[in-house]
Amino acid sequence: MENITQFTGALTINHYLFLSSVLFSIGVMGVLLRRNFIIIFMCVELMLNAVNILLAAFSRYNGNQSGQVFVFFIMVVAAAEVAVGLAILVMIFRNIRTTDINALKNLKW
Amino acid sequence: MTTLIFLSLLGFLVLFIGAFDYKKLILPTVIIGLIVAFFLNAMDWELTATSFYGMIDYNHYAVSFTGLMIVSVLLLMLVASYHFRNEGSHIADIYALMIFTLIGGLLMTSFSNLVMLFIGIEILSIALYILAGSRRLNIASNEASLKYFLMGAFASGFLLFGITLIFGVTNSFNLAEISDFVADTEELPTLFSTGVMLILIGFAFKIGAVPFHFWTPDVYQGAPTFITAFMATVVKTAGIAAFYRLFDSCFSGIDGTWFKILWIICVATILLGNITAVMQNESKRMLAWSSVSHAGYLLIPILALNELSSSAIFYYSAAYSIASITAFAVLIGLSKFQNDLPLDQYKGLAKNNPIMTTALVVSMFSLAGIPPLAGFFGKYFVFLTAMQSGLIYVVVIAIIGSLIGIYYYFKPLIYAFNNEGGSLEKIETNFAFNFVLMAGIVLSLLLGIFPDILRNLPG
Repeated sequence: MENITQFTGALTINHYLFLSSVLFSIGVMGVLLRRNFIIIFMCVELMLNAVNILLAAFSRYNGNQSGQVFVFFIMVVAAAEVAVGLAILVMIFRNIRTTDINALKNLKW
Repeated sequence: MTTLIFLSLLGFLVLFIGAFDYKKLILPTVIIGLIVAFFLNAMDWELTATSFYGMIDYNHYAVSFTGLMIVSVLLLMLVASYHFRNEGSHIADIYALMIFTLIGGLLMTSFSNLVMLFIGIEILSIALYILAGSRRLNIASNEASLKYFLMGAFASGFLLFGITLIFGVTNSFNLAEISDFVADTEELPTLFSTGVMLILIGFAFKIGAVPFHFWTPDVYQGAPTFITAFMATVVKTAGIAAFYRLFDSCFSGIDGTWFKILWIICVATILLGNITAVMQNESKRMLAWSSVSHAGYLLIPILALNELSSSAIFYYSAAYSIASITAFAVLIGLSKFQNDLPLDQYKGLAKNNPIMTTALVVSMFSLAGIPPLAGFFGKYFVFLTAMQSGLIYVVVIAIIGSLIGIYYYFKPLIYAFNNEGGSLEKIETNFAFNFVLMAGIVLSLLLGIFPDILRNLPG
């Protein structure tokens, strides 16, 4: 336990910045490259959670709690988005019986 | 400030009326409620203090934009009542969601804290995802809903990352404190400009500016027509208002990369929107591309950022919203519930439907920017603002864009006055629908002839 505290104490804000940028980029690439609704959806959540990590880190670094409060706002909004998003997914799945986004090609240019 | 609370209560009231199935009460409640909200909003005109612990700053800019959005929603509700005249099952839910969207828009125009900006955008967007998919059994509507949802959530991610970086640098979410920080700091760190850039991308997604516009035509075509009208007017107005409010109050002092990127976005949006609209054969898609190009014109005052900008944005949004609502109302009158609305369905409209034809002519002329209609003066004020900041190339490109625009806005009119192969029969309308058309015609003319009524409001 003591080792962990020592280790986290040595982490600078740049480490957190790097971590969350990497997570965010993974999320972005996932949204752009994957073709399954649910995976795309998870990647969007990954983007939001990367932001959460960074907010908490900045909040600690700056000694300002409002960043941590904002994390809760983001969580609430993300939960609401998940509720609506999954409802949309279920609605589509009932109509087309697949979760492949390439099946939705009715609307083009 | 009371408007916000009143509208939230109105939304819940409408939901309850729907749940207890008092169908006749829904429309009157909504209309009376929105009129009351309009007057409550007007009463806040003198209020200049910030409210809700400094989260919201209800200044003249916010009051004017809120008024505009309430009027637009009111007109759209009347159109919706005509659209849904024969089926009434989910109408209360749709009205309630539209009111919740309006609340999000209201927060987006009056925020003075980045937290409120995010909450406002999300309230607006989440309700809209449902509205876009409100025709459950129609695959095009489903697809529009999903695309809008994924793109919206994706854009929110960028916006949030930008907000976080700015918080990290400035140690505040408050607009006034951020702008103080910008004024006091000699050299802003790279993280700050990265944050501004990410916020810019987030907003470009939301308002559908090139190169983040690719979802716009699909979503606009797939969504039910009056929701499309809603997205093209109220949502776009709210997005632009928030965009301008943020950049005007926080980032106006910093020059550098965001200006160049916004310059490219703005020019590309105007050109691509207009050129692609020419090639469309489907009315909703054509209007969608035209709304992309109008987002480009609305970006010009943000690019210019001088004392004329806020009035130019407000006047342009008002002119554009009224004309678009009229154009979409005509489209709703013509169509029943189908998604494919080819341009030649306007054929022979003129002979038996005088009011609809006049409304079509006025709205298309206004969108194209032909004097003496409101759209012309909207473009004129926008160009004036740009000239004052010396953005001559942008003005030249925007004028070329609007010349291209005249071509495709005339296409429906040519069809409407073409009687070859028989003219359209008289389309059955009701009072609410005719009222919207008349209001659209009168307001477009009135604003065009007396532009000063609205122009100086946001000041």
